[in-house]
Amino acid sequence: MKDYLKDSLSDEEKKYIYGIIYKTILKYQRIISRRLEKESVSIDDDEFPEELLAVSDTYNFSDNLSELKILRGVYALKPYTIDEQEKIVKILERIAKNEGISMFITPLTFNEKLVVFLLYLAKYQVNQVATLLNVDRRTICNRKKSITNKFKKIKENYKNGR
Amino acid sequence: MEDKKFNNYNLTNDEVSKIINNFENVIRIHTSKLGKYQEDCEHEIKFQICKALIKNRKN
Repeated sequence: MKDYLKDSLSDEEKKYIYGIIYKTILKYQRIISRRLEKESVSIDDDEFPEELLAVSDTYNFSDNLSELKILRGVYALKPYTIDEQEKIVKILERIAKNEGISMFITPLTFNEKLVVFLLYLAKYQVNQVATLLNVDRRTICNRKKSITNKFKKIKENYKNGR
Repeated sequence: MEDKKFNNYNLTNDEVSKIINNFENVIRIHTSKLGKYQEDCEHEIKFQICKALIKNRKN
């Protein structure tokens, strides 16, 4: 009889424990993805500037091949690399400049710009954006909240003539 | 044929606790991507390990 308080595990025993760990994680991932599929994520557009929403409704990615290339099919989502993320931010800044909504986009951080692009222009869902940026869904919701607050502030400043 | 692993899956509570403690970090690292489900998953893994290691214990 082996004394497990003193002796360490054999390779076979370690593999057995790792097997349990991986199997349980897989089970959980399946549960999570099933739950996410059921949850419909509603995006509250009330605080969003109408100008940006207008752009998001009318903007057509198929007009520009390099922009279209950066979009991923929803059935094969894999996280964006840093280079691709930089490209996305550049595309968003260009669109903002062309459409005259730079004042809303410039104050945003790099990560917030990514969320604006993927969520509002590319029309991905929150869970899909989370996968594309390799972060938690809650992170996307927090960034969205921060973006909305910034937009609100900018709009107020504009109203007050500042 | 008797499986020799884990004294034929008949470990004491202390032994099971020690094994789980040794894998604590591994479990945390592997479940860190699950976000709010991480804690639940960690508990489930520990429960499954415990269940497996004492499956032939009589009492």
